[in-house]
Amino acid sequence: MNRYIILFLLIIQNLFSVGISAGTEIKNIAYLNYTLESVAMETKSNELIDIVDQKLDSNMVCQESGPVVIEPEDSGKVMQFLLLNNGNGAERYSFSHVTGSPQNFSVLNPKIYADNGDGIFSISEDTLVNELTLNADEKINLFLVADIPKDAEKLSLNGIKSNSLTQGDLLYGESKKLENFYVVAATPEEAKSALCTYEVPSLVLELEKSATLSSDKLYKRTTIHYEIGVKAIGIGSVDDVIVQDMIPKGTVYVENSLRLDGEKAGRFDGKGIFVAIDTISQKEESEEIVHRVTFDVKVL
Amino acid sequence: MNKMFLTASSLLFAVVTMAQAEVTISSTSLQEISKSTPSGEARKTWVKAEKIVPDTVVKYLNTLQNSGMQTATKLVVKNPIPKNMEYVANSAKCQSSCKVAYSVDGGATFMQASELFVGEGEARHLAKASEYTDIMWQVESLGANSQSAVEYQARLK
Repeated sequence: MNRYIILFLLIIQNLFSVGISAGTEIKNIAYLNYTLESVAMETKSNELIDIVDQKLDSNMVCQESGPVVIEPEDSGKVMQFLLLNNGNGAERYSFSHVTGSPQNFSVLNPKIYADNGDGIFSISEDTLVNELTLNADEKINLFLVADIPKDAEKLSLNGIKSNSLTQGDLLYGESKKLENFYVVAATPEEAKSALCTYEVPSLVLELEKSATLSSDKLYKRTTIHYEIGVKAIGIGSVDDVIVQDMIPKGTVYVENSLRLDGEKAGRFDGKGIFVAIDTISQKEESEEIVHRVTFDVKVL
Repeated sequence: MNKMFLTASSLLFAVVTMAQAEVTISSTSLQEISKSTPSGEARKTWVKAEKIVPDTVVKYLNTLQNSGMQTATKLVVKNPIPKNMEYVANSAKCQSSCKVAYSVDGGATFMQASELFVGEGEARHLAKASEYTDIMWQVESLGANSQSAVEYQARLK
């Protein structure tokens, strides 16, 4: 049983292991045997010791699967990020709030918190951070928490940038001696920061109207079946939606033919139809028809 | 009395022989870097290993120096692959002609790469380069006052 546990731990270790720790000694020694006039001789080489240097390699990733939906004047809206130390030694980071484009509004009071390990933001349990140290292979969830201004609209890209204090002013690919080994800057600039999106939802409605005739051409008493599709584009909610359409000249409305999604609905006022839908809301980006209004008219 | 004289002369002979035909071996580590030529072309070259991080390939060069007056024969160099390093396939070479063999059991037995198997039953397979534990070079001879070298490459895990 213990063998399986050890094997499992070794597998786990290998999955996350990103290399031999900085400072480890690598020793090479060679042994030589030879013959000299039938006499066997032996010797060995010097013991060659190389010290493993530290690769500074980290990656910041946005953990949100889509935009963080917000409303103007929201407070404490949270975005989640993950910082991984892919290097082979401990690395100390400082953090800063960064923005990207589009930036239709600027958030207020951005703050960065380090997760306590549960992956869920809690202002009382998580820690406000400016700096922290991650060991080799270690990762941590970070939260960007900000207030939303009154005039917020559309999109605002925000994120966290990690600045390696261990790397200091070294550029990508450069190295410097640190104690008994070198540190090599191996984090590409683009991997140091990540952006997520705050989005003020906006839902646009579009109507698609089509007609079907009861005969191959328009004759007297031909019935025209109209269908009005209500298409919702974007994310958000729209209240008090009313679909309205005028009856074409030379036609008469067919009594009781007005339907909303197949059910009797709305009214005809002698000139046109009116159908109230109340609220249309959509939580994910889509361009689907969400409601269908149908009615019939007859050619005079 | 004669016996003592013989023993003393044998010792003297051995000391003289060792002084005359000392073969030494020294090990150095190199790593490959890219250097730009004056024409702007990137050229790879091996330099003394200085910055070794995970995935770095290190070339170990074992130099054999015969500073004596007689030819040394049947030279056998054995080099355990350092802990935390993996042998790079087909990288074991020598300056002159030699035979190379590998071990997967810590140097107890050596075989050609094509004859080296690990595992048992269904898990038995031709050993991968990363499973080698030791390398052995066999050099027929090294003349007086001459030098030769054997080398291999290994990748830091």
